[in-house]
Amino acid sequence: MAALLEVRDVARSFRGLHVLREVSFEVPEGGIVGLIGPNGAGKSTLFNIVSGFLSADRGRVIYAGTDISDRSVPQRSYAGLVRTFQTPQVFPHLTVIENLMAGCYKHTTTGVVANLFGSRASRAEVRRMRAEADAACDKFGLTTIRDRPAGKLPGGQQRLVELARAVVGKPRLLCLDEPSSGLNTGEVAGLMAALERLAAEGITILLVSHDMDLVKVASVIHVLCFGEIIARGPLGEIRHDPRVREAYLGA
Amino acid sequence: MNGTLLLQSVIVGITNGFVYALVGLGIAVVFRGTRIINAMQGEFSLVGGLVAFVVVESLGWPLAVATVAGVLAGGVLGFAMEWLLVRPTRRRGAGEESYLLLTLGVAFAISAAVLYFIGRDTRSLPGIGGEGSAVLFDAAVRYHAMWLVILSSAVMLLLRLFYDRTRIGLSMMAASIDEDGAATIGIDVPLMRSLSFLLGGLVGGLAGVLVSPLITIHYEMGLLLTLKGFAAAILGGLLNPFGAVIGGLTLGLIESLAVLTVSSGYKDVIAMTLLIVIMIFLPNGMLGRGSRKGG
Repeated sequence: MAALLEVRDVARSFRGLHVLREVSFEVPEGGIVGLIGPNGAGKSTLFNIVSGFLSADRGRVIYAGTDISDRSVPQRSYAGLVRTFQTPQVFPHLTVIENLMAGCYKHTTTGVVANLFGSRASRAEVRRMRAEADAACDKFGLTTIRDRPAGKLPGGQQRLVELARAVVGKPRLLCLDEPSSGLNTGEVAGLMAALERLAAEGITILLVSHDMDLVKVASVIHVLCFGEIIARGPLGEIRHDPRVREAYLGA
Repeated sequence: MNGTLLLQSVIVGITNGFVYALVGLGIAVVFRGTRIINAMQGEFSLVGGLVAFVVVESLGWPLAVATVAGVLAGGVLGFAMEWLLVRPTRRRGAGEESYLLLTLGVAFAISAAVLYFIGRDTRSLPGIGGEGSAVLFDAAVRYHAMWLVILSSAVMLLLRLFYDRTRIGLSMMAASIDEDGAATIGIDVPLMRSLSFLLGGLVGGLAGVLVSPLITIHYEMGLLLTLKGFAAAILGGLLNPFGAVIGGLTLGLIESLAVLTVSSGYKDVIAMTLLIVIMIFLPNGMLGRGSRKGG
């Protein structure tokens, strides 16, 4: 099967420091792929290049058979490639439900004038967005806090709001940047269950993390170290790879 | 002090208040969408007024066409400003203070260009609805003033609906609160910033067309309006565009009542003193923090 995401020979340096050296990897459609590595391995840089926040010096990013290397972040989002951030980027003054409704905007079709005067189509669309946002609140356990401003919530819940907002946008490839940071053990377990559920619904997930517990949900893991992929395979295999052990334990 | 005089002052205060409100609204629109304090908001009005004047006086076209032309001129200037100057500045990683200096610089440049090409003469647009007045309990209300209040109110209402209901309006706010989060849900952040300037320019252009029959068009008009509009926006709370309406009306009424009770020379002193007092006691504006959304 053709890969949904294909990163080809991507290189990037900052002021002469080679953060990524010719990195290549694939994410097949369906399932969860993990990208791990110690701090400073280049995970964030790679992730920013995939999601469009940074451009690569060399190499290409192919998504669903199309070279998207020159596409902007919103263009990638419309194509179904959506990311979350290490620090959750919710709209702090909007309520949870308003945040989720904003996640539906890219699928709206009614124009400014119709919205302005509340045409029938426009009102129907708002009802549909609200229903979708409500359903997502249910799914991610946000119903009790749906009318609270997202910025006032604790970090773990903001992370869920951000994830739910990405999911209501109906992504094909969901890229999650350190989704477990700031979560307690119980919340991590909930997150893992949620990710497995999303994967079962057919959303492909690329997971960046240094949390070895969380990456258990991934079927394949790529290990990035000093800008190079040093190992790849299921967790059971890479865990015993001497280079991975060295990178993580310094042994 | 008699009743007619008081009523007359209130009418003048409301008329001016709506002008300040419109300019303040433009400043708040730009700020809400870009977090830039736009010191050239009054210049949108200056250019809008001038374009309307040229259309009426030189081309001899009807005032309605001139009004539309003036409003559009403001919008084009706003969009061009963002596109040609703000965007490249942002690309180079400018800090917030750079934009204040940038817009202030352009404001002076436009003012100087008007002085150079048109000179110190003042020009006046005919009032909408003619130069006549209606009589209300012995006080005169210019037809133009009525149109000014009606048109401004309509624009304010439309803007309110625009921000509350339209996806673009909501996206413009989202883009300014959280650039990265907005981009990843598919919002074109740079486009939203351009649109905020465009919208601010349109509101500014309208303010110019509406104020020109009252205060005449001259090269210093922009700065004057920016100051008053800025005061209105601050009074109401900069992040709440509709605060500018309350702020503008308050400012207009205080000024005109100050003229009545003290002296016309002191109206700015009284208005600005009040501004300072309000800022000390209500730093989030007269409507307070609770009423604002988006920042």
